[in-house]
Amino acid sequence: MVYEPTLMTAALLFLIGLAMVLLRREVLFVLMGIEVMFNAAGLTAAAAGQYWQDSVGQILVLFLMTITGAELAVALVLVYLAFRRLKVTELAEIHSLQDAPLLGGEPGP
Amino acid sequence: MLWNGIFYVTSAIMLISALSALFARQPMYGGLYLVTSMVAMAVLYYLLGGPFISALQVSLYVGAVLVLLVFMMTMLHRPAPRGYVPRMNRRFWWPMLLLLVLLAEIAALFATGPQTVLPEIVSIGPKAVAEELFGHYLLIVEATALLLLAALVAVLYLSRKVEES
Repeated sequence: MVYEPTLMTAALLFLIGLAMVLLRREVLFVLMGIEVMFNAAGLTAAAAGQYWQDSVGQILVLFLMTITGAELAVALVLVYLAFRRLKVTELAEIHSLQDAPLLGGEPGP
Repeated sequence: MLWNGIFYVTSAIMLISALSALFARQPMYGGLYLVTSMVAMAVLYYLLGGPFISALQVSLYVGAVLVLLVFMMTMLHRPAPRGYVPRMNRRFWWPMLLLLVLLAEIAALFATGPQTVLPEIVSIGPKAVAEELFGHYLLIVEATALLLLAALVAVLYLSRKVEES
């Protein structure tokens, strides 16, 4: 087994997730991008666990999954609240805290 | 050799489906591509000698996280808002430039770095994981339980406010 292709796959996957966060505008796709980035981090941890032939890498992946679940539940409720109150699903439209006259110009794209 | 073949094919499937999720028009299609990517990731975990986290990947990500996401997609039903596909304007090119620079850095790093050859894959079963988890890392397991409880309370509180308003 060669160690580098695993790390390279994880790096590319992380990059794709980062692209989802940066380029997409819908909140759901941004959350999916965060999930993809968590997955990439987990793959790195599993590969590192295999590198040292130890179970600590798998334990790290386990905690990562748990924390991802907790994060996603809270984030999805916040997305739902934003949809219920503001009727928006895009990130750029959530700007009710913005100080529009001071900033000047149009608030979003 | 067979291991290498399966590994590269699975990695390709995972990367291509994640890339398709990036350019998906509908959120549901994005979710489908994400499921494919996560199942491929479970296969990768298995190939890297972790059958336990491979099973957990299927049951936790595909079974719980994706169900949550799909549930939210059905709640946020909104026929085709604008800007589903990343548009080629100023807000598109600057992040794209940053991502391309990162990609070039990764390519340079892996093209010049030394290749580490591992002896062979050793399967690390659930027993070894559980012994570490409930022996050395017991305190962190308890802390995670506390975190999950906090998330549960937060979600319940926020969704109750929705019903009242």
